[in-house]
Amino acid sequence: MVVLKGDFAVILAILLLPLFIRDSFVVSTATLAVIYSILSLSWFFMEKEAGWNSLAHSIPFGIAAYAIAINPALIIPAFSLSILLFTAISFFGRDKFVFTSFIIAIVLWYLSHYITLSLNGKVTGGEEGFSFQSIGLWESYLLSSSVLLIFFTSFLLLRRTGLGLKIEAVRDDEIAARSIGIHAFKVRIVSFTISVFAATVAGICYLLYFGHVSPEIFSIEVALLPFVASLIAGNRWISPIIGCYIIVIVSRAFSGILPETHLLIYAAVLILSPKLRRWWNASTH
Amino acid sequence: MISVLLTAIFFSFFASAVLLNYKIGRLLNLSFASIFTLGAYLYFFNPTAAALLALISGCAVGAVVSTATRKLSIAEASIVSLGFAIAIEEFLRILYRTSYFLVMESSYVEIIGEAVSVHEITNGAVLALLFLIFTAIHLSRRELKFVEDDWELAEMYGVDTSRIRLLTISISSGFICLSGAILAPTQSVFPSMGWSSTVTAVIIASIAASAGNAGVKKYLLTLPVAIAYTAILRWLF
Amino acid sequence: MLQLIDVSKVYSGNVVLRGINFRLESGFAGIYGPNGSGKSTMLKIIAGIEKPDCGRIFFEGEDITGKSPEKVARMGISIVHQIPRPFRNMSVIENVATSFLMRKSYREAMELALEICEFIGLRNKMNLKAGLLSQGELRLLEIGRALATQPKLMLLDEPFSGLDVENAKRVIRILKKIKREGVNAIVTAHRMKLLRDVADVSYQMRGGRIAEG
Repeated sequence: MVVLKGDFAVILAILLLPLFIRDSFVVSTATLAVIYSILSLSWFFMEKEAGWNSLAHSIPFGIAAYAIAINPALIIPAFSLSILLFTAISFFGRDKFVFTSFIIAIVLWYLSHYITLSLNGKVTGGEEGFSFQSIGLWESYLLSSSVLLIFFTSFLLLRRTGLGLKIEAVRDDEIAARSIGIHAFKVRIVSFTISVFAATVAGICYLLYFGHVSPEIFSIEVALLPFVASLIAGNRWISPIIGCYIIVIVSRAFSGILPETHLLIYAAVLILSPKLRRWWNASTH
Repeated sequence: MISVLLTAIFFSFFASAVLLNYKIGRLLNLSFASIFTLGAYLYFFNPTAAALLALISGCAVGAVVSTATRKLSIAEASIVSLGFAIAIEEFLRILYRTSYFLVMESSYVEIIGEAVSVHEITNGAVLALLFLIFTAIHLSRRELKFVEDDWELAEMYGVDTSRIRLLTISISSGFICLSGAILAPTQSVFPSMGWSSTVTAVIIASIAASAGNAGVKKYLLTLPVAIAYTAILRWLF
Repeated sequence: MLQLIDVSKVYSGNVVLRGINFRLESGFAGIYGPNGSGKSTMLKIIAGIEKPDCGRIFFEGEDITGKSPEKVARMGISIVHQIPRPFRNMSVIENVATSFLMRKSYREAMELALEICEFIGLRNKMNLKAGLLSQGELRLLEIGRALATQPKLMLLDEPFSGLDVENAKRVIRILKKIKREGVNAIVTAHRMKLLRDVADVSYQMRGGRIAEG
């Protein structure tokens, strides 16, 4: 409980800091970090709580942004499609889920280059993507920060509910869970729905901040971000948030000297991932 | 049709390499995406010595990946290979920052009214020959079948599974890199060019794997699957 | 209460159960037999984890053949697996509370789980992660978790296997307590001697067939 209060205090401090510094560069960096943190939290919930390791959270993230940019009425079908996709992939089993999802994320990345819209004889989309009205820097930051706090709190509270226990039970042993009356498939759908919802909201925040979405939202970089961010900073609920901040800050800091430096962090973290995982697991226990 | 067949031979070979790495190497070798790209960049760097350079570089990278993933589970090893893929991609991106898309010239010949790149023909011929050699080796060496069927049991019976794994990953990586070098003039070369081929190969390998666990059948099945896949894509786009 | 009519099961050409006819009205029934006789398979079929290839199963007059494990559990049949299947990353009390969630809220479930932990003798370890328990303690946890579903019928698949004498005695004490509470059960074991202290009637299982012992 003390640890959780400490984590909450750290997040509040991180989120409040830009409000005192009031520098546009700092706020824009923080906004991006917060949006990616929401995405990473959604992934962390699915991996840690529900036990499904995906490398495809770029899918609900990107589909949501595209849906709003094309036509806001498409958000519900987009949300449903993401849940359906994850459910379909889950039939391959937990072991194959991670790489099947990754392959589908890459396929979607390629296919997104062909998403075009013809309006009044003018073709939009394709590689250039779609534009949308941005809500502005400070508004984006305040919105994203509020959303992050809400999701962080909600995920932690969920663990102390009946639904949270069921999700963890199905994660640990599906057969044992079914033997005590838990509808494992229903719980799986609910887990996916919660995770996809958070990723969808992150996608919407992304679009409202940038005012533009392109196929790069489905890139390998975005697909791997939550996994890498969590591995950098540990096994706790605050870890994906800290990890995202590290990645975004390093990327922005070195963008003048070496663009996309953060991808070198990705490579290093992925290569060291087995050791990092064991180290974080050992330090937790 | 010739072009479809040549492309299918390439995808069949790539898918077989993916399958081989999965069954014997015990990993989904995602580093192939960047190893293929590395071969293409080596051709841009030195067209004359590209083939030899690609073979050596590919084997070296494969050996490093094999060593780094030696005692890991399939999932962990695959993620590590993904890390290598990104590392190589970034290395190339940093090295060739001056221009993102590189285009090199190729020469074409006309076969039955169809213009086919000389490099595609070379690649097809080389890979077809390699495939035949591999099939012959697989049929004659029972250890490969044994290891594919049951890795742990093969180890217990004294098969040097580590050596077989190292050779499998290194040699397949070498030939993927060689393929990238030969095909470089037929496509625009950029750091993430290898992903589309890798994803296609994984999909073809998944379908072909339904032919069974051990034996050469699944590798042979990659060719008809690749032909069907390529033909459908050509028709659609 | 429970009736099996001509239940058979075949695994890859190997007949594991041959036309099993079995009836349990009330009390504790013991089934003993060597490895591979079909004891575990029979329990798994009743619990819905496996589906029979032919035959029917009736529980309290209702046909439960082929029903899913969660439906069977909700009808009042719970199973204690031969190899314990705890929720390793959850604490002991959370493991037990999960079973109560079928009918109770989270708070009520946690309160009732405390009572079960007391009943099975794991109160002092209730906040420990299940993955850190010993073999005997895991077996007790399995029993507690099955009890928490408030079953009408418990299926205990070799509850004494892998236990030393002390832990086996602990399990027998718990089973006797459960029996006094009026819970019905089917208990399987390798040898009849192990069932003597708990079973009202024993059956011998051999080569997929069952006969009164």
